Amino acid sequence: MTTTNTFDGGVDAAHDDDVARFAAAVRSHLDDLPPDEVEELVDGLEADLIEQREDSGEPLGDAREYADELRAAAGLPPRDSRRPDDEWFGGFKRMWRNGSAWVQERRGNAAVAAVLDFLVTLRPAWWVLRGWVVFAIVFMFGALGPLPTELTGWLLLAGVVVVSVQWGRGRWLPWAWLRIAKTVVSVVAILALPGLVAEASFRAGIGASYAYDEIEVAPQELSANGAQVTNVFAYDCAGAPLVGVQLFDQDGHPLAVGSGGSDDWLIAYDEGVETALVPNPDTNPGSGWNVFPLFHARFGDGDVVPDPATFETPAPPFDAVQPLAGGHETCATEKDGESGSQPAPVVPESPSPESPSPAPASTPSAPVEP
Amino acid sequence: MDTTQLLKGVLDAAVLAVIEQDDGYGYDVVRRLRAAGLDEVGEASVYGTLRRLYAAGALTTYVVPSDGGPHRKYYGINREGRELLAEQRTAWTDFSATLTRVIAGNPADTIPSIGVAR
Repeated sequence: MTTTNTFDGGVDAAHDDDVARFAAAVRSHLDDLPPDEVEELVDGLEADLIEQREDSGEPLGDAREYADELRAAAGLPPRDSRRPDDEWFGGFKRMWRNGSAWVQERRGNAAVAAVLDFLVTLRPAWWVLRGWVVFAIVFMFGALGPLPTELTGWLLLAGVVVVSVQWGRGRWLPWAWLRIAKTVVSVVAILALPGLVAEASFRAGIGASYAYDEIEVAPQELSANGAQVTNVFAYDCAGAPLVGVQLFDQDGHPLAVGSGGSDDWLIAYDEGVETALVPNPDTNPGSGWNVFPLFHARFGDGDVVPDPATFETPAPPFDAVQPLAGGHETCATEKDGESGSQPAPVVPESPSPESPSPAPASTPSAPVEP
Repeated sequence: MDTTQLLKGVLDAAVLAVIEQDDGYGYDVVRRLRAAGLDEVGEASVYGTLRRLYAAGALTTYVVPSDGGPHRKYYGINREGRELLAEQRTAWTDFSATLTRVIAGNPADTIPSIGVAR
């Protein structure tokens, strides 16, 4: 037993404090006995202890041994042999008693005493909380919110809380098994509390959660009308397909397809057909995802990376598209007078990749050139 | 020899005898027993014995407030206590005489003496 003089009240006060602590510990070691019997046994104990200390000046010793000796001399059964019928529960009770006796012996520390007093003050709040947890487990399972929505629900909740509080006050426990039930309920409530609080707060914040989700599912890839864009085909003012077009957005960020720099290729699915897309081989490694069109590639047998020998520009969706009226003078890629006169769109009959010049049209039309 | 073990069987008689002389509270009884030579007596054993003798109806009890401190619980002997003490005196006399004879190793050499085993 520690004998810390945490107060400046002098030796007497410190002794009294020690004695009170020791007496409390002895009481808690006897608390399996009926209360009046304990009182009978330890009545006047403090006076005896104070005098004993004055006489001997020695520490009071071990409260448990003291209690056992007192018990044996008084002809009472040792605490372990009581109630052999419910051993498993008795074990828990012993653990609890030993724990509370241990705590009692440390009340001498001012900080420990302050914390204990604070927690004792909070007990009624725990009783109410326990009532709510029981209500939540029994009646709210799955369907309702953290609090009832109907009058009957509120009445049930009130009833459960009242019982819990009365149990906390030691009332309404006419049978011994109800005390066991109380302990079981408390343990279950403590275990269920975190999950229930999480569930209740989730339900309370369900609207906010949805708003959050909407922001989070913002597409990470280039998309148009909700569908992923895996490749882009550009045509010049004359309507001819272009290769090596570099695209940027309004902020100057590359308008990139795919992961934009880390991966060497991208797998696109179109109606079940897998296509490997790779950046234009003329770009720097990892920086070519905004240079369109992306090249197609194939995997060799057993390869895990696309074979560079198979890189090729994909067939554009249209051989040519409509030329811009009067825009041919500024057409950078205009090669001859024939260009820029294709009506659009024209479905390609055969792919003609790698040809930046206008493809021969199936429906030739007159040049618009004067 | 561990005298605390020997004491266990006769503590009732010792406590009753002390109380018979004068009423006393728990630690007072301990002090008087120790003064009489029973150095090994344990406080809790004496308090428990007092409690048991009281429960058995051999002692009366009353509370005396002390100035500024916790109250003291005094014990006094009653008629039943005196009868019990008389019985135990006789029993102890017989027993101690017999045991003295036995451990002396010479049945003929009997030395009747009332005392505490040492």
